[in-house]
Amino acid sequence: MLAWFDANTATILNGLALGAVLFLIAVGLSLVFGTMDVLNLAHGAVSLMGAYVGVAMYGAAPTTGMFFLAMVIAAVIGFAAGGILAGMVSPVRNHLRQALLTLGMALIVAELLQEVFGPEVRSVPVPGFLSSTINLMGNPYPVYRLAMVAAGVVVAIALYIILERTRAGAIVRATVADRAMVEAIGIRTKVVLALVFGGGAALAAVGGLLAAPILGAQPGLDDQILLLALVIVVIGGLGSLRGALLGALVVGQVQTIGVSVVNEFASFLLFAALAAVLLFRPQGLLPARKGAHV
Amino acid sequence: MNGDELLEVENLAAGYAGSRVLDGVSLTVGSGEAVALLGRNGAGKTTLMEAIMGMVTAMDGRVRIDGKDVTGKAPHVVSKAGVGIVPQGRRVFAPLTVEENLEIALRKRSGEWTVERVYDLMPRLRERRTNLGSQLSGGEQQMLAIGRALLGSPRLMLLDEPSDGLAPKVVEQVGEIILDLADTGMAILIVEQNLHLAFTVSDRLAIMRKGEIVHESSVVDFRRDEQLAHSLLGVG
Repeated sequence: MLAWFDANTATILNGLALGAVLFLIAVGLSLVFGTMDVLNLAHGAVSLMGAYVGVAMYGAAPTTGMFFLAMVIAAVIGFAAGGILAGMVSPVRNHLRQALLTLGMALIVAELLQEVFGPEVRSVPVPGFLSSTINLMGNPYPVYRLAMVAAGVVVAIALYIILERTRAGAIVRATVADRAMVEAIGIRTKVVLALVFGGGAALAAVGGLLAAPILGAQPGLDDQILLLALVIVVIGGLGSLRGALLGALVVGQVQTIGVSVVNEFASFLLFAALAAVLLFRPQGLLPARKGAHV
Repeated sequence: MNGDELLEVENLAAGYAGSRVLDGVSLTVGSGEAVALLGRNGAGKTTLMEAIMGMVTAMDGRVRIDGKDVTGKAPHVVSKAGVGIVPQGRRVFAPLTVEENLEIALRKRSGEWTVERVYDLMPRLRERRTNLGSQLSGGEQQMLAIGRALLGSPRLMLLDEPSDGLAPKVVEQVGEIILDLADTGMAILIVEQNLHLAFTVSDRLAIMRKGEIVHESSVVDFRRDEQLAHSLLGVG
């Protein structure tokens, strides 16, 4: 067993890195679903916008400054996109119409991105200061992937503090639990929801940007990202920060270990995990219980 | 209708998809007045409370708070116009601590009620401040729901069955809290099955049946006429 871990440390770390960016992307989808009761099918498209921010800004060898500027711009674009989507969706009550509306927006955005950036795979370079490798048990391992893990950890802690330790976070948790009652104590829940939507979309765009050096940027990636994020939300449980984190870690490991151990069954494994959760724990592993922490 | 009315409900019709629960209800509550809303289950009492608050959409008629028309407005607008609600089933925010439940309800502008003042009124809540809403007893939840409504510094309080599911001793405690509030000059509209509590708190009463108000009188007059009470409420 230990020997297996030694031999597969890089694979496990790769899974952690993938899980970390998937967490950034999926947590917004999950919280928007939990607070607004809206399934945002444009979430993958917003994430792909973030990847193309990298294509547009990085050039061949992005500097540190350019890397951080790109992150800010991806966040701003994502926040604006989320706010616009929230405004469009909020008067629509019917779930099917909400899904069709966000799917329509996703198709429009994907088409526009393809018009601007072309149909081919655009590779996105790793920023200079993160492009080195470190020695990991005799083998070189890219620092950038460790930085992805770090980004995931930082965002998870920051979100936890915001949601659990601030008044704004308490309002969000209350809105998940009983939206009409939050209105009745004088809080305009439409604004709460637009901010959650915008914040979630901003994280999705930043996640897309951070993942771009690994996944590239190409038409169709938005659908793959959306699918993975949906699997994460179902596995982890709706509207829950801890659920999104656990789901993303599971999906990251299943994807990478699956490919390295049983390559021909890898894509099947992901949906086997999904089916197992749906069969034995249909509410997800760590859902936002109406009576507990997010 | 004189200019002193804090709440004016005029010919209000409301309900849920496909069923009209309220059919032309008119009711007033003066500032500083406490009115009990009585009637059997399904008479429309809760729907009337929710329609005043904007939680149920009005189909016809008018709701005015201190002369300001709030018909069809979102609940947060009605809340800011000076109405607080302690809803049926209490609906405290279960995943939040007692303190968080109160803090998010605090409206900064008004400032008449503070979290500390709520704790002074109900010291039990101070003891339980770090507990989650889901960990409270029924009576504590009721106090929390009242405290939460108070932090909007309302001039009109809507109380929907505050004694529901509480032990007699706790009902007494909650009754005393409501009496304290009435003494501060807050207007109160209370739905209550516990007639002793309703009569203790209220100046006036209105009785609903099938979505309409069928009787209004002062509590004193009503209690004098046992036959009337019996025919309207099925009790003595």
